[in-house]
Amino acid sequence: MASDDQLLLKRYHEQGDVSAREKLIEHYMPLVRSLARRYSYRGEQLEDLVQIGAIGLIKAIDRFDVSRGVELTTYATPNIIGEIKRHFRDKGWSVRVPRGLQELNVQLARLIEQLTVQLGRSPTIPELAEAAGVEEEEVLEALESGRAYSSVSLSTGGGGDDDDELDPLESLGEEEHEYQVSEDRVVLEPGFKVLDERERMILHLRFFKGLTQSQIAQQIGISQMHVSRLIRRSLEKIRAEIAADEAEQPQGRVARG
Amino acid sequence: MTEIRLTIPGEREYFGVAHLVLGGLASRHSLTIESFEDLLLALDGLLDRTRGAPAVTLSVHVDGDEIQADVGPFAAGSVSDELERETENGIGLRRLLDTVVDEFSVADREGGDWVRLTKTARSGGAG
Repeated sequence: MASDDQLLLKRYHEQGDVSAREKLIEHYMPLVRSLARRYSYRGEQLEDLVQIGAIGLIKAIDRFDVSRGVELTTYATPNIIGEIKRHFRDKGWSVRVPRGLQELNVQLARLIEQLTVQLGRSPTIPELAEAAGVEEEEVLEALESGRAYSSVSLSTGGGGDDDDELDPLESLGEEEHEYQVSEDRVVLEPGFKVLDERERMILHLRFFKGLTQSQIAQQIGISQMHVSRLIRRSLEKIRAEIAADEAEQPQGRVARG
Repeated sequence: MTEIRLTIPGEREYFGVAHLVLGGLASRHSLTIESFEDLLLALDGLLDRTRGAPAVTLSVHVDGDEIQADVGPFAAGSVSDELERETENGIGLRRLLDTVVDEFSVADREGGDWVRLTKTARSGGAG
């Protein structure tokens, strides 16, 4: 297939054969779709992301240097991902969180942990506001900003806003063969394959073992707020994966995640 | 009884508004952060099923120590059908709601499904 690509690329670049370019685009659209699916949990329609990814593919084909001896797929993949990431960056995501709210968010996460120990239960919003010395509305706004941000963030809880960080999802294709079938078969469910080990464990503890977020936080050694965000994000990923599956196989699914 | 009603387009960028409305009431009625986060998960699970709908209404009531959130309308029978299709090992709507709220029910109203979520204040320790 790679030699076919080389022939098509030569026909396009050396002879201006536009039909060769079209064949290449058609041939690589499944790759575009596969890469776009990794980002569909961020709230965009898969088809829109496929269209954006296709622009990256076309750019890759147009800029490809036949003499360099690399496979088109090697060159096209980062171009497609780059185009999709650029789209998210350009869109601004309306969650470009002001620094003040970011700092309050970090402070709240710490206070939630302290107050949970102190009170023997999760604090209420007024208790949190009092401890932070801010209004309740500010607490709600900071929590919402963090929630919105975490659902679109590429990093798993880093809290920064750098879209160029390595996306852990980008290695999913290589990791899929490593999935273990656990005794409760949770991993077999539609959508779970997009989750990493920690996310699967957290969902399992919350939804199958009935542990609270605080109990899970204690068991795993992360904050309750972080558990909450990982649960939210994992459920979004599952929903996006199942939606993508449904889009491709309209009659294939029995339950939504 | 306090009641707040909010109607938004069934689009993700508006879901945060629903969060803030729910948060406003949660704040005034001693819901713990953990219970509030759980209630939001349930709400988002439902809102996600309204994507693309021209309007979805969230009606939040506080009755004593209970916060009740009515969400709808969904296509007639769609939510009740989905609740029945729950798989043993998946996290479908039933498992989600069973885990994160104290009670939920589906009512047929105005030709559509409406879901009522109930969460008790200070129930954060129990989920």
